[in-house]
Amino acid sequence: MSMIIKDDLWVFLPAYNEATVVRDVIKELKSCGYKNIIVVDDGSTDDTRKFTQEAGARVLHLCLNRGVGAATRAAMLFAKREGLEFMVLMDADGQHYPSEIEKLTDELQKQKADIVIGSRFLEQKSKMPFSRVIYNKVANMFTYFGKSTVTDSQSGFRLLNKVAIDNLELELDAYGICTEMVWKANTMKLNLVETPIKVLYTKYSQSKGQNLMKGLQTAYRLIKNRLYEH
Amino acid sequence: MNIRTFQIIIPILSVIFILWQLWRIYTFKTKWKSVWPGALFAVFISIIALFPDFTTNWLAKTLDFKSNVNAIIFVLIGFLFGAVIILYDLYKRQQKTITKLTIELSLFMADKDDFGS
Repeated sequence: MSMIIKDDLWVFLPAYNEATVVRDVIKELKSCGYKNIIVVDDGSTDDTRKFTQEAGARVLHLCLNRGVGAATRAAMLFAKREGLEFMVLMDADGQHYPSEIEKLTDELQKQKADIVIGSRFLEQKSKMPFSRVIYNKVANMFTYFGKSTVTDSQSGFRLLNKVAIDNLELELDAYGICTEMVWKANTMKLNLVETPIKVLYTKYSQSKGQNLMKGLQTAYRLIKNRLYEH
Repeated sequence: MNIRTFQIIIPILSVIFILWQLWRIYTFKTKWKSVWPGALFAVFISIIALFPDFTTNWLAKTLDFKSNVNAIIFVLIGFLFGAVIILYDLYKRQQKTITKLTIELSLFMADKDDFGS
């Protein structure tokens, strides 16, 4: 397999009201050499869209806030229609280090994978808040129901190749999409692997993302989706 | 037999309702799947209106209620519960459609030239 070059990589950042940090994230991505950056603006009510364009990235704008799942699906559908070879999904809140995209691409090539998930649990140095650790452990249990044993099913830092992009048909609108992707990849026997990543937890990024209430809603939607599927 | 006013009005209204729904199916404005709960309820209400004592006593006996009023209230609550489930399902399907349209619109509005395709 030939080397994945940065020009072939498209980085998608599902974002909702991330005007505070989106410019910094885009700037850091560009400094790492990634040119194809698309912020999937999930109906933000602040200046996310404006700041994204000012920072020189493109915007895929959802006129209504439909959830991170909908934004991810929009990104995947865009990638599929454009025939992209690889797509990276990253959080837009500055939690992930753009420099670690190379870790994902290296792992994808090394293991001939279809999907690489950046796991916060493989490397013990990640200082995740305890509540998030508990939440993620519980969420991982749900992926076990899909007969999948990933350590970080809720990580938003993922690399997908064309096979995954073209074949994964996801349905959930909210955070359940993380687990749904793992379930469906497992069902379709896609090669899903993990690689350790570092994350940056700030007060800002901790105020975003999943919490217990959202987790319960996610669990309900996952169970319902699974039942309807069968 | 002493026929009461509601025993005339309710069945007539139910028949009108059912005929209207059949007309809507015939003109492709709706499908059986959407119509059957309302039609079933209309038939049920008509039967109760035409034979109020017989049906409520039968319901009370079948459900093992002492009072036929309680029995009919229980059944109507069941219908209400069913209606809530149906409406909730409809609401979720509409939400799915809205998401789908929002995604399609975003892709349509994306500047193709800018994305270099």
